[in-house]
Amino acid sequence: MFGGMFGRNLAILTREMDVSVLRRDVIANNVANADTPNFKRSVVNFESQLKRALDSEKAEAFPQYLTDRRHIVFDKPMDWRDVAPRRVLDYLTEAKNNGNNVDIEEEGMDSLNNQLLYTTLAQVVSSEFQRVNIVLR
Amino acid sequence: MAQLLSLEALGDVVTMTRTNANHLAGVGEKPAGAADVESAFGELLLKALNQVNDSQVTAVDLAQQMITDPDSVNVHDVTVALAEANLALSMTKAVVDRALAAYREIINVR
Amino acid sequence: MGMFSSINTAASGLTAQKLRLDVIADNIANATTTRTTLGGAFRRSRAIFRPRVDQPYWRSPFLPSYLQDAVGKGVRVAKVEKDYDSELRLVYDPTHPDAIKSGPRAGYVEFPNVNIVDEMVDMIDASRAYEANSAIINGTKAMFTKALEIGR
Repeated sequence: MFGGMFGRNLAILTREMDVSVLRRDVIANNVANADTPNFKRSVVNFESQLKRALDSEKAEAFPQYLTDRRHIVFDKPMDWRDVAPRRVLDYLTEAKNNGNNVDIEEEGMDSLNNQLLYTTLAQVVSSEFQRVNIVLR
Repeated sequence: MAQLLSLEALGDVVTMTRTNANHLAGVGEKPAGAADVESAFGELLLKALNQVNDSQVTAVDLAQQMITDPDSVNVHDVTVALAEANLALSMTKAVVDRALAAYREIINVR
Repeated sequence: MGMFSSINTAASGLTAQKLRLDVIADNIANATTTRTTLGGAFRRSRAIFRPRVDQPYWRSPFLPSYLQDAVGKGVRVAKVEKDYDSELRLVYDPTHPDAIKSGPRAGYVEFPNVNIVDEMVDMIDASRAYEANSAIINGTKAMFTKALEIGR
């Protein structure tokens, strides 16, 4: 509803919070399966794709001479709205003897980082709304 | 002759009076009267508003950087930039409110 | 530097100490194993740690200073190797099925080179290191929370 007023900052922040919740669920699944034989952990890929999409807007487009309608357009900037989180199976990490490659300490660390990121994002979002309140006072 | 009286000599440095914009400036000296305009209040206000806008843009950029590349930014950088943006906006609003109140008061003086 | 760098570093320390504890537990459990599938008595293992540094693979004489003074990124376990340097314990027991049949040491049984006391000391050390790494994570979390209170 207020998307136009806040530009795209709020949209990016809320998307990142959605991805953070998804990551929390994926980590919980990994931890719950920490003893299952032959289980491989999953990760969520989102931030690197978003970074590529946002950087592609800033990049200087290679000048193309599109003189014919059959010329193919390359160097189109990616739309950041199309970037979706993907849940990827991580089968490259070294596995324990029972085929399970979940490392509890690393999952704990990911969970803590995720939680701190979510808290910081909530603070940033509330700050955005606060700024409007300042002017309306 | 009147020009010579305005010469000051300090060792081998002679301060020269420039009365025309075309007079060549010495090392590190600006020609008097060329660009030494008094900043109007309006220009000061615009500069301040630009700074406030810059601080907001910085805060937004840092938040975006925190999402895409968490290893390049510190959390206190982000929170300090946010606090600075909010504070700058608060102070600007306070200044604008006071200026408007003062203007109304002056207008309403009988 | 970065938001989560110290948490990542401490987590790598936690993983390494946990693996070290696993190795110690394996040594203690097999302290009297006189025959393994490889033949010969069990030999104690140890975990070799290496620092995890973001350096280029090749060592250049003109390495820029920011790489040489860079803050490390934690620890990794290079390998878990068997200790072939210590001597095996010999106990005389001709009735043991794994006793040496012939030669100058006939009748002796080779027991693993695991010294229980050393392993217990190592275990306490690993446990304390785990606690220290965990304290770092707690400290970082506290700093984070304090930073989030700026301008709240």
